[in-house]
Amino acid sequence: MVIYKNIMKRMFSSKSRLFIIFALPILFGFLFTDGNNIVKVNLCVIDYDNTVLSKALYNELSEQNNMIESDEYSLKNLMINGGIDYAIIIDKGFSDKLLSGNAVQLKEEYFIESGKILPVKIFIQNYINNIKNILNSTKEQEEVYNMLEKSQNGAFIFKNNIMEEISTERTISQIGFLVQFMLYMSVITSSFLLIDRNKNTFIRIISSSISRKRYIIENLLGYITVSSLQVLITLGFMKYIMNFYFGNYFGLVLLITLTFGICTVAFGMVVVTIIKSEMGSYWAILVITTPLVMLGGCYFELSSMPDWIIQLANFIPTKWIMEGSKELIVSNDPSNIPSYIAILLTFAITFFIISIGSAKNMAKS
Amino acid sequence: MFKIFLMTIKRNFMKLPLVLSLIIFPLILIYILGSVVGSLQEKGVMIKETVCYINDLEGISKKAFDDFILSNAFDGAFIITQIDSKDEGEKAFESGKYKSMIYAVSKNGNHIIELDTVNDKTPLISILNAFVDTSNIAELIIKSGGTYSPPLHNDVFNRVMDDLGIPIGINYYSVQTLLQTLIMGGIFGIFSILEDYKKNVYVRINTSPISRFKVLGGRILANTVFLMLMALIMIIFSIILYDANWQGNIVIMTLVFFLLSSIIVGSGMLLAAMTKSTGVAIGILTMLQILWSNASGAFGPYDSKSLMAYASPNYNAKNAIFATIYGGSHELILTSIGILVIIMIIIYALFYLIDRRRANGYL
Repeated sequence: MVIYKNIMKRMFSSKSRLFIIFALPILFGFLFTDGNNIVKVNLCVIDYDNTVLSKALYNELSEQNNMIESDEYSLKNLMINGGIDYAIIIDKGFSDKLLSGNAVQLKEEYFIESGKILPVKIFIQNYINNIKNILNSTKEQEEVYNMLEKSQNGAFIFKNNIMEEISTERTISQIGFLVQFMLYMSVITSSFLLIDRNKNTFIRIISSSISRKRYIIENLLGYITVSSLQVLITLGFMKYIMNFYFGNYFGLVLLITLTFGICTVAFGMVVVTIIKSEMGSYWAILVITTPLVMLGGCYFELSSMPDWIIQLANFIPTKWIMEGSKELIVSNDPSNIPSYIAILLTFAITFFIISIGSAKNMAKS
Repeated sequence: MFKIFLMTIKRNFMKLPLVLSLIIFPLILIYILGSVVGSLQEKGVMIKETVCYINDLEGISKKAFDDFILSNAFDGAFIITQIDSKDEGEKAFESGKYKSMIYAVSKNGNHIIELDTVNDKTPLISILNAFVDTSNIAELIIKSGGTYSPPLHNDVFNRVMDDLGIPIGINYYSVQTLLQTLIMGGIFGIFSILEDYKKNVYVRINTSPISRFKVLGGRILANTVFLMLMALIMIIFSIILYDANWQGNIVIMTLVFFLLSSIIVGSGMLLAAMTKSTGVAIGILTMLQILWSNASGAFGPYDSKSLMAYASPNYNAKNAIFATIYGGSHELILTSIGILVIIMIIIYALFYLIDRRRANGYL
């Protein structure tokens, strides 16, 4: 196992290599865990009216949304830099018009009429309509305030309980990053093959008693060992130190991720044996990885995409690791995992065969 | 220095597969993200909130609440699943399958609508408050002999809009994807430095009449101009193929791309000087690509007030470009450009310190 030992020695003797293989994925766990994927509205309300009714509306909205303070001039900037989703401007005279039974309008600003600002609009629309209805039935402005107060003790009661989060999205998102890292690292680890070739080490090895087959197999074992350690350390850190939620099947999550690790090693070997130059290999993996992770559902839900993309994703290994992780962590359903593992192993075997064929050509050249 | 500039540009263009992939790959990605993911973006949510819903109300309230909650109005942000029993709902909610659970029950003459949620600012609160307030007021009005009319759709809002357009879909991703892809150009910066180290160029420089400053300056300028050319080609293609909106101030956009390109080249050179290893430098570069792109909103919602956002060249470049195209203020443009200048100075200062030590170590 001299080649294997040499691979491990080369891998673990470089501090910077160890840092990017083991520490960076964990660092990402700290950097991207602030729950940006929750649905909330960043709302700005500019109240020029400053009356009891407008303040009551403001207070209700501030309890329901994430309020951002701003002046009217800065609203466009905030929408451009993503600081707000929706802005309402209450003009002076709003309450007087409303209580006089006249039509009122609120100015609104937004880029996207998204599903998440619709609830805010519904609430405001109902608030104004309720006041109009009270006026229609009582014809007295004073009665508006009485009725609004009485309605707080009506037969319909709303109770809101904020619970501690069992964040499956955080875990899935972190696994998405780990998948991306594993793809990048596949070439960084497999690049030893290129270095051996460029420095003629490969020629010296195959002219010794070590066969080509043994050279490739021991290299593979080395890379698989490193990939497996990466998975074990990262997922173990996520679960036991950072308390990420993994559901009831952490062992199966580990197993499917380890299988994906074998797949990425084989993929990395395909890249380095076909591309043959160090710069080209790194470039190829940079270019290929982004569409692989996006089409695999690491960042976006595949179900929202057109059918042809969903069909295409079936031929991408990243899809199966993400599907498997989601089924284990979100749905707590391990029934499909054996088939997902089989699919990933099929990808791995296919990549191995291609890389062995390319490596033979490499040896001949 | 000019000769080094020309030689570096020529050498970069000779790497034809890299040049072509730097142009073609982002164009494909713009199409996928702009047209496919853009439809997600138009709803404003990349990941919908999962909600389970149990309705044990009695009388006419039961149907009224069903009609309200299960209408398609909330499909853009929520996936609402009706569950038969509270126990089943609680179990699924506690396991993390749902972010929120709505339980409506009639008890002792009251109609209680209870929301359990892990999202303290979920828009569901607005929806449920609207239903409860309206139901209570309707009941009060009807009991006092009056009639209640439901609201007309959208008669109280007046949208303020200009004719500059809005950055969504293809328009959003043509900018974001271009910025994200340009980071990969840092690889040219990495190879500029590592080739010098490997081929002992520093030894030869010190025995020649050309200064290290001119050599590095020529390389930095050449790689920056090269990336700007790539960006220009991608912009032209995105306008021709996808009718993307790039109608901002050309001077401002040129300055932004110059600063961003020089930051990317400098980052590559700094990583190469620090790590001395191609693989490791590229590994860290890819991490920076993820970090900077995520902080600028390339992958979904992001916290625009976080330090990471401000420290991200992509975030500041995006703000300056969107501001000039879509009518943001001069202050936003100047602030964003100012931050880009500061980031550029920091990166080149660090590179100067590390490279100087390393170059001296070769003598």
